[in-house]
Amino acid sequence: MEPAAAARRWRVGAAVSLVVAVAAVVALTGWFLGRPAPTAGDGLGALRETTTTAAPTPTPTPSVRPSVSASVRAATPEAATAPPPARLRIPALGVDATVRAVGVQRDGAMVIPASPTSVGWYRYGSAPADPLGHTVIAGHVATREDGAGALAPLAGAEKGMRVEVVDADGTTHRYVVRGRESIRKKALPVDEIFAREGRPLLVLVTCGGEYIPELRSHRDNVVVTAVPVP
Amino acid sequence: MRRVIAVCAATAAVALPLVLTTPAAAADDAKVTVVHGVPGLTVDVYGSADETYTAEEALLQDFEPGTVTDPVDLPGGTYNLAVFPAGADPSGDPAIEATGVEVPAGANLSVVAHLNASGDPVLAAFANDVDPVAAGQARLVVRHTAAAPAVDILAGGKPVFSGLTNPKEDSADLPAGSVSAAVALAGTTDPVIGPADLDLKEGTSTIVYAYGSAEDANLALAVQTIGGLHSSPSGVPSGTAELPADRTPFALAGIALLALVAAGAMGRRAQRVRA
Repeated sequence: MEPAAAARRWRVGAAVSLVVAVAAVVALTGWFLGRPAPTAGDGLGALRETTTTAAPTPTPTPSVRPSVSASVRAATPEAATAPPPARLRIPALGVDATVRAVGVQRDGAMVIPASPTSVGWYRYGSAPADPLGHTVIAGHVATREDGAGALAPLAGAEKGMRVEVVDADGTTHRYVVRGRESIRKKALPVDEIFAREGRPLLVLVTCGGEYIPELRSHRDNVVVTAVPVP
Repeated sequence: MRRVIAVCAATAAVALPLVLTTPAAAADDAKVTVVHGVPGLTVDVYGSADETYTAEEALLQDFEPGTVTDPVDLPGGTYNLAVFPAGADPSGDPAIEATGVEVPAGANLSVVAHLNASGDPVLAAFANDVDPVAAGQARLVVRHTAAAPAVDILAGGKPVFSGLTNPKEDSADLPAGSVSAAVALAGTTDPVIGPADLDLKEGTSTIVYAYGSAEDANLALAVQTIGGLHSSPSGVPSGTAELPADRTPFALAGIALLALVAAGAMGRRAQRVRA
């Protein structure tokens, strides 16, 4: 082969390699810039707002004090209960999970379903159809047994994303994400998250932040708030 | 038993006028619930600051046995309470009277008209425990307000409270859920009341009154519930392992490095070939 032609071929090879290197660096930069910020939207603003703002309480029938009316109730008053949620969807994040009604563990913490396709709804709190209070749905970010959990993508939730919760009776409740925040587990505002009063709000919870192997636990909770779409 | 509960339910929708000369409800008002546990006597209840009762001082009218009122806000103070047969003239002698009933500001009380152990009607005030219950729990309170000897309270056939005597109460915080409750004479498991299903709702207190008379064979249960005693879960342990790391940046960095090395090598080769 002629030396000039060979030299040209090596030069082209070098140029192509250089282009590949530059492209890889650009992609890397893009990946770094595209990572979700620690907070999205107004973070936990929606949470605080609904718990600190006075709920639209039903105004009692205008009665002239000092006349009050007491009603006599039956041995066991019947209360209408809202249907439990059955499915959670966040299309933009590819979340589509079965919702199971859960309570608390022996240590007082919320039960989280083990299955990587299930999330837990705190059944003692409010349901989507309830007129007041927060619907709390939590799921694993990852488990030792199954790897990534149902709510692993929650770290990428951004303001404005649509969320759907389908009740057991088939009713679909639509929400839009207001904010996302990472909070140290020790400082988790449980009374605000699990509030049973105040305007309806969907609160999604998973884990995030540094993983501490000795505790088999993450340092933070990732909390996403979503408000109902009328 | 079933029949008694049905009778209680039948009167549930009746709203009774409760007229009290009180100022508007204040934050430290006491909450007072009135419970009627004297069988066979529909009554009017009066409350007064002195010992005479007038028509304007009627708290409850046509109050039926086995029923419970909604809680009423009352300013703290000392009250005289009297129970008359329904429609009776309140200037006469009351059927039951309790004088000097202390209602501390901010307290939550149940005032119960019931029979004492020897079968005489009395009015008694019970202070209600409104401390929060742990997440997932419900409080069960049982009050012996019947003309009956000591009893055991059975849940699911097993005694949970033993040797309860009139007018004592006992309580426990239990996992929320439905329990089948029955009352048996102390030391026995043969129910004298029940069994009745109680729905112990999470974050509430269910107060069960055993009332009536063993002698007259009309023992029954009345139930009062207090809501809003719930606590939040202590945390959300939603991850038992680290999320498998995203290897994208390592792959990209590797590609960039390899391509750079290749580009350098090929560039040098090109110069050498030309030379």
